[in-house]
Amino acid sequence: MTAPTTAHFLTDIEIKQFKCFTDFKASGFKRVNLIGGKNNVGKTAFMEACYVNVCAINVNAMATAIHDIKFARENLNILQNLFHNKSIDKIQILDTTKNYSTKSCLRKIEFHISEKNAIKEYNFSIDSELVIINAKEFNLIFEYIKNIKLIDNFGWSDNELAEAYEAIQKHEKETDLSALVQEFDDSIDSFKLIGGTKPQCKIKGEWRDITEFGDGLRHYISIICAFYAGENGYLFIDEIDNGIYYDHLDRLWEIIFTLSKKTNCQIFATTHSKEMLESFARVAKKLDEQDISYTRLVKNKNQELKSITFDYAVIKYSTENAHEVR
Amino acid sequence: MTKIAILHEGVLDKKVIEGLIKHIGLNEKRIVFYPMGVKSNFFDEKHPAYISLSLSVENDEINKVFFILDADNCYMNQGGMIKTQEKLQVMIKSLGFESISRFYITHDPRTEDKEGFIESLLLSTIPEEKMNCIDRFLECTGFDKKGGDKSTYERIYKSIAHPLSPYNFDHIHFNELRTQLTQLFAD
Repeated sequence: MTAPTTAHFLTDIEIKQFKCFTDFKASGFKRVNLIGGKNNVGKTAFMEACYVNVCAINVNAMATAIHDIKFARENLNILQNLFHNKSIDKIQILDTTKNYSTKSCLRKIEFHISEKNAIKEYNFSIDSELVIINAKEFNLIFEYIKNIKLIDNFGWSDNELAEAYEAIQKHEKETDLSALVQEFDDSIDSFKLIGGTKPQCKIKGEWRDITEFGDGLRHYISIICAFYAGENGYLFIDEIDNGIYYDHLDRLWEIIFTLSKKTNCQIFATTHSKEMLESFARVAKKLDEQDISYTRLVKNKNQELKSITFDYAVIKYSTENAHEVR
Repeated sequence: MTKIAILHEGVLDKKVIEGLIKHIGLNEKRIVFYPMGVKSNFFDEKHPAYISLSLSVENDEINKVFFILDADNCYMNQGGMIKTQEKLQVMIKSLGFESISRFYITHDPRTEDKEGFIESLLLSTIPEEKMNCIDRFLECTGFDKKGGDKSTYERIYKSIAHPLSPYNFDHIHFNELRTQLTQLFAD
């Protein structure tokens, strides 16, 4: 049996224009990639730029990804608008991204909105193949790449979790998942999707909705399911330590290192937590997991955004010598 | 506040430098130590310390770099002050650190060819009558000063040689290192 190829891995990216990034470069990505930096430096935006780049296999998938990153950020506002019977216009959401231009080891893509004869035009370019769509003719058709998963800051909804859980079922890993959930909280006997859509945990013989538990549990389960759903693809997680108690961090990394290899899924995760970074370095060293990187986003003295990517050897050296890498 | 990286070989070098910086009254908070382990690592461009340091320099987190390493001996033409200096300068150039770097090569200032290491520098700072005694002891016992165990020098220094604790930083043999450090912090 041949080893799965890692040719799909994103190893570098140049963000020519997107949000706070202009002519920005980052490279040296491995199988498991942690992204850090101070608040508001652009960690999430950086991950979004990578996400759109890997998704952009065609115009629909690219437009969907651009739409989704904004949608994810506007989750609460959209929900509130729905509550007040205000409809959501998907084109309006897409319109908020005026410019996006990246070039990676996978592809060069560009998106911008222009105007011709007072009519808006959507310009998509994938590897120099340009598609211009007049606003009147533009119909955004959502196209998701099945093995590219994004867990945003708000976490996954029941539906998203249910969809990823199907991959767990396909791999017949329900028992393994339940065991991992039990490890996370020993009062839980098992985890299941009741009726195919309701994530529930069994405690003392009684099934209880996952919403009755802390956000950390949902996040933890989402990550495990996402790896199986993202087999031979990618997983992007914003604020990976969301709701996870520091005691569980090492075990979470052990699971991530193991599953990313098992499912051949490349992962990008953001954090601003020192404990998370220390745990990442500690577990990588313990497991001798060298296919990792830590990218720190920083502003230099000219306020230009730069990336510093540490590989395993440098992460190990820096943490052993108590150098500040966060 | 400019940050200074100090690249050193082992624990003793760090202890001595830290002590001297405190003794002079320089701001130790400006320093980030980068242990290199052994001397040969100073000449390995791909050493993680260099990669980490280069990234920090590039990102203005480190503004100055100070190298402190042993001269060792001229035996087989492998060490000594001149050889070490030449090799280090090549490395500094290839790292692109010329304009921000300083270095000090530790040696026994009493040696003609400026050979030695941090331990022999320390031993050279003890009172002369004791030094002569130890020199005689090393000679009589056949202890190979040219390639002997460096830790023995440190043990002699710590246990029997020096009356002052822990280091005699006011000794003339520390003057060169003291000047280098003062200028490093002043630049």
